[in-house]
Amino acid sequence: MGTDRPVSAEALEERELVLSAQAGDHTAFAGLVQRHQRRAYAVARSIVLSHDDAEDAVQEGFLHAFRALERFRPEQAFGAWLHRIVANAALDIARRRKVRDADELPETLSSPHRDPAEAGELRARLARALNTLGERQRAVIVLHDVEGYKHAEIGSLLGIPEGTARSDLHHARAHLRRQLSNLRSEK
Amino acid sequence: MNVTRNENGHGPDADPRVTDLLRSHYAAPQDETYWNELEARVMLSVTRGIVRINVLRPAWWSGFGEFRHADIRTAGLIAATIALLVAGATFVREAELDANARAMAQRAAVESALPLPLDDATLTSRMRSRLPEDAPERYLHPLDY
Repeated sequence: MGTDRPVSAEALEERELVLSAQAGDHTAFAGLVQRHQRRAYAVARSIVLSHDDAEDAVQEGFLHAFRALERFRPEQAFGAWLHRIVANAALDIARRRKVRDADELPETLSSPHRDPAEAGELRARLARALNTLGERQRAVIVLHDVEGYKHAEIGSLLGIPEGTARSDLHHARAHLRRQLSNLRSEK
Repeated sequence: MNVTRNENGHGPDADPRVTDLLRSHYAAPQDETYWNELEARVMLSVTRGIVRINVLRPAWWSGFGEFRHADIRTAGLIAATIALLVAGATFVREAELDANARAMAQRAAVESALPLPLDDATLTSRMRSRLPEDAPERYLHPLDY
């Protein structure tokens, strides 16, 4: 976040894309989508329970971002701004999903989007363990341990204090360790 | 694309095995065609979103274009209908005003023919001083009766 750091060529390129997109250039916005969709997907996937919901959140997030593009100040970090929007879209989907079909969660979790060969007892147990975690704790541990976000960034993404993100991570790790405690002895 | 900036998920309370499992479970698709397709879908939804917004919120001047091409007879018919409605509303309004005026005049005539009722002014101290000495007690202290 330091303002004294030299601006990289990548950042300058991104700024150009943002300015062009703000001027109505769809190709420039497509360039931003291309750059950020993987990270956006990862953020969404950490919050919702299924690949399909994560995709929906990404699409909704980009659509919201596009509509709000004129309000974005180019001196900000576009990625942080966008990921916050995607996180909000994902949280919204997760809330709606929770209300709609809470009973189907275990099935949704245990059916990941790719490579059915990987699906096995271990994955199913992890899915069950993740399902016993609170929504926020699950998002925090995935964002931290899988995506590499720092506590403050997670707090900003999920709209919670940094200390809460830190404590959620601690509890989530302890919970999963307990739930999967016999992994070492089995494998 | 997995940019890791923290302690790589291997903090003091982290189980590396669980972390690896989580990474495997949540790993994003690796296939490049998947991302190209997702990008295309996102751009399609963005374009659709723009079209939908334009349909829901037409430009304020778009009505003039339609008006220019409209049949002049239709426009005349609309104008005549509006004029008729305005005339009708005015007639009804005036009839209401007349009826009110007549009712007020009738009431005034009736009230002027009747003796004045005993109103609140009779009960004030100013009026009380003008009462005769032998006025009944109930005139002086009406609330006690």
